[in-house]
Amino acid sequence: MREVARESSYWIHSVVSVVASVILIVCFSFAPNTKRLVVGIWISALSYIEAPVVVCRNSMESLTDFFLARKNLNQKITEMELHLMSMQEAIERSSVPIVESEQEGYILADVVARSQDDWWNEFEINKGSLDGISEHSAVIADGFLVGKVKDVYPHASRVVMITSSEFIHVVTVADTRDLGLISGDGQGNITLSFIPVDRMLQDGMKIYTSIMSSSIPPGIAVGQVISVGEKKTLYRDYSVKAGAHLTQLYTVAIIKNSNKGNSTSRNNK
Amino acid sequence: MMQKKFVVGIWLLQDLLQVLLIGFCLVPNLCVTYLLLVTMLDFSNDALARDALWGAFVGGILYDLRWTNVPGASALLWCLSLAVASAVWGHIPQNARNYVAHFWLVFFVLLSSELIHFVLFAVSSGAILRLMLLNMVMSLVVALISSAIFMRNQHGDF
Repeated sequence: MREVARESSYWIHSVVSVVASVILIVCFSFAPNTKRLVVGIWISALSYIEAPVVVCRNSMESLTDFFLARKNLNQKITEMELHLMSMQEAIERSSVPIVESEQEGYILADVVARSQDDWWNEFEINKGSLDGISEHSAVIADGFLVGKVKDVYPHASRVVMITSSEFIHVVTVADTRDLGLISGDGQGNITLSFIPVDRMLQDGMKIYTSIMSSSIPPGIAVGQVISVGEKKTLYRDYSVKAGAHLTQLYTVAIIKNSNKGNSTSRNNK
Repeated sequence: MMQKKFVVGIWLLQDLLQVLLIGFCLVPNLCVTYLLLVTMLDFSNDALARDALWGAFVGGILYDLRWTNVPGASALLWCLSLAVASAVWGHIPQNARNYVAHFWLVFFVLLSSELIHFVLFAVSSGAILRLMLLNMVMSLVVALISSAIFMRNQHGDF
């Protein structure tokens, strides 16, 4: 039994195979066309055997791409939902003035009189011209518009409510940016008018004061759409629910009107 | 005796695995591993060793035609690997030719040939280190399997 070395014929075969390999390398390097032809034939022959594996590999790659794309899309959807929520919160926060102190441009006043005959039309507050109140100033409660100052006396003022038939103001629908007019009927109802017929507003859409007014600042929340009303030729009316609790008005805030030329003081109170 | 159809089958298996894992890793040289296994199991059979040598030659050329585009390069590498491994194995004492020696010899041959393959044919990139590490792990597994088969068949016909 040979324990150590092989026969010399094995090594001769080894040398021959190595030399043959070198010769092949050299020959094919000088015959690129032949090499290309031989390689092409061999790869074509192998392609029939490799075809099922290629299909399998492509299927795996497609499946992986599908799951990766799905994961990325889900992440993007989540990010966009969070972004949308934060934007909605920012809009709500910016349009609802926080009544904290009179230094921030508000005058706090108590509702001292509200006649049952004019329950939905007007009420009286205990601040007047001497306290900085001026006519046409916006009056808000719980962050929502409740009316505007109608008459000013030295120590008291009368406020016309948004449910009054005397109250008309330009507003904007937050979701659609449509402009319209809100007005009261004196019976506690508010109507949003002059919305084009093709602009179908939905329940719950928020309404804010518009920039188209010199007395009431824009962006004050008024309320929300609650139902579709009467259609009038090219426009449609909508019912609006006030955001403030108009039956529980005890304290209101009056926005200081920067246009001092409009203020009028009545001296008979 | 070595079955020629086994060699063809293992060459095809290596090729199909490479097609499946292309771009992910380089498949270890299953063909050379098998040829080393059969020659080491029946080391006294010189005819078997010569057949294995020429099997490595032909397999290397076909591998080059498919993958490297330098016909003869892998044939040279595979033949040299077999010859060197035979020389080393021949110098190991009879009673030391066990599965451990087989494992280390096969692992060294696989690593060396793949390192040369990377140097000659691989494109330099940041991913090359990952490929080499992955290849090293796969070579380790192949060498372990080969040594397990060697251990099982050492005293029987293969």
